[in-house]
Amino acid sequence: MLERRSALASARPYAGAALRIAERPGFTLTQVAGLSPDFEAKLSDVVGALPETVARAQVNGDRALFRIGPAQFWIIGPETDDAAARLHGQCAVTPLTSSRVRIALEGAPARAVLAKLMPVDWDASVFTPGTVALTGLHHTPVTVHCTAGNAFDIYVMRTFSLDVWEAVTDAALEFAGHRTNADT
Amino acid sequence: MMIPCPHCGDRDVSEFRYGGDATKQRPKHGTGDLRTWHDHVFVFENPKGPHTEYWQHVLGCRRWFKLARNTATNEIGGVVS
Repeated sequence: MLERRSALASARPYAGAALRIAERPGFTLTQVAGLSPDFEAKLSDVVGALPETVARAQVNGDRALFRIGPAQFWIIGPETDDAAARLHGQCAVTPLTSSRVRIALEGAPARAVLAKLMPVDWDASVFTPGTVALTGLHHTPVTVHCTAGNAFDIYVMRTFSLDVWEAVTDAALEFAGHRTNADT
Repeated sequence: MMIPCPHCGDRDVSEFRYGGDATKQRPKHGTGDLRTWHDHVFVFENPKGPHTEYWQHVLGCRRWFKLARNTATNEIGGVVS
């Protein structure tokens, strides 16, 4: 079977006692936009409830929806998601799966790592599970989704993903407890 | 400096791109006078104090908007419709 080639094939996932950083492939990303008054109603018929605000994700079953711009949404579904096909002809549908890489960051130091990289309030009382931020990391646009307490998905443009990966892992170095000077 | 994006709310200035003076009037389409175009494209005021500017939330929702900003104090007056 033909499989997608990872843009991070040369990057080694990191799994330490406190922090894990890995690519999380296996998703379908569909961007939808529409200017007609019934756009959101039509979209909702296919994918269910829509996120109330730009800062919150809406999870419907195995899909997560982000409000990424005025009259514009991202649908993150499983690899076999048929949302794009079902929305064809009803609004502007742009498949973005091959243009984004998803990097997962998880563990107690994750918020401290993110705070080094992006100008967003990552405090656990503010950036709670379900929160989404469209922001910039290493001068590139990224979308960050808090999926659980200290678990984050970072959606990065594919061509910048290795650079962003290195920025994230560099920022996480101080939390890699098992690494010592003797290792280098 | 925090900028109030009309779509995303208050966000750090590093997520935005400055887009120029929003008070300039573009010459009418078809204007043939080169001096008029020269002045529009190349001649800028450099006001100190309250000003209206174009900004784009380039690392966020990509939206363009007009923002009132005091160029001397960086005090933000809000989005101008």
